[in-house]
Amino acid sequence: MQRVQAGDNDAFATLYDELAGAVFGTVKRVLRDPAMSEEVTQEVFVELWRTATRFDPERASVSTWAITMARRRAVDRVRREQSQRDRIERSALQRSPQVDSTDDTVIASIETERVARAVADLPDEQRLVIEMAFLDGDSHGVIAERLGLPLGTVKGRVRLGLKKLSGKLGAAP
Amino acid sequence: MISDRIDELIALAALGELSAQQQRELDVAAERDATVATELDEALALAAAIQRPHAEAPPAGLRNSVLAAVASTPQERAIHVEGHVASLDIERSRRRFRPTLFAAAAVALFAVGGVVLVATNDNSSDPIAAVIDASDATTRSLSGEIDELTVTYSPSEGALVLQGDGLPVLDDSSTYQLWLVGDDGATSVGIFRPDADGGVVERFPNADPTGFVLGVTEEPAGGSESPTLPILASA
Repeated sequence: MQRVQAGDNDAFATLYDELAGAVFGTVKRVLRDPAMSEEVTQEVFVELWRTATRFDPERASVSTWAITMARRRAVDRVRREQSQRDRIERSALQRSPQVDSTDDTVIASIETERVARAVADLPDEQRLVIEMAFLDGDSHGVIAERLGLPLGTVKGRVRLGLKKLSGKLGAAP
Repeated sequence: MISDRIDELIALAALGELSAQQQRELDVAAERDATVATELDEALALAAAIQRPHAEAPPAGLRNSVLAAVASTPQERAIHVEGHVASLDIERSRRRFRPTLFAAAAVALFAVGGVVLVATNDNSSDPIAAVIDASDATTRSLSGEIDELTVTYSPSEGALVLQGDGLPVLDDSSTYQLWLVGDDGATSVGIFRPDADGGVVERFPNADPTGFVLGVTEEPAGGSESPTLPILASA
């Protein structure tokens, strides 16, 4: 990442290879649409490059930084599309199949198992909103509507769920 | 002890659903309270950890497209101070909403999340800062459908600076236009477009808003000779 921050294009190509699956997967879970997901994924990587000097390794891993940015960008795109025209009937679109990356490392597999187990152990009401938010890519507004809950309740359950995961997994897994 | 409000903002941050205003509120809270910063970082790390394993290979052609775009995209400049790295553009975005921070000292130091930012007050090469930091600068906040716009005017610079955040991003067929509205009608100051995040910082030379109402409209690309209603923001 230091080489990327120094403007090394080759290092950025390597970074792309490492993060492309996670970024594209995150974006596509929110947007569903493959073409739009490709476009937003490109925007995310250009932003990662442009703002690389802001990255602080003491606060987050590179993948956390990238996935956080991917999620935010995807949500922004949904909002923009919804505000400009009502052409996306998200609820009518079928969820796209989630395909695991073929190049997950052993460490990632272990982490995957730990996180999945911890999520599965959450109380049902928190597990459901966590899964809908982060595995199905739903906004808290959509979750509230589908579950018939107030928005504040959904946000509270997301926060409580993350706190419990933090307790189960320790600090940043 | 973290308040319910901060808990709510952390949840929204993990969901990627913070508005620009909420983002600033959370940034300020995290700067003031290390516990907030730590809990925010943990929440983002956990959200990423849940999503990370469910990767999906992007189309093969995207790699070349991304690398080509990156090759023609400049990075934000970094400055190095006693081993710390900071981005000048972070300072610029902070300056949008705290212009007075830059007015007094020749050199100001900010400690933000363990990173030291150094800002010099040499505005000779920064036409935006020259207006904002001018001793005779006055600022007006615009309100309306777009409510996070300010206009700073400096008579000595003979220019005004428009700053904003969270603006709806327009497609290529339209643009925003800033107007001076007086008894004799409206005069165009210029057109502007927000960046991908809805932010805008634009200097308009030879524009004196004294005695005029400032108004912003959405117009066809290239701008219009007279404003198209509605007025999206005014002051």
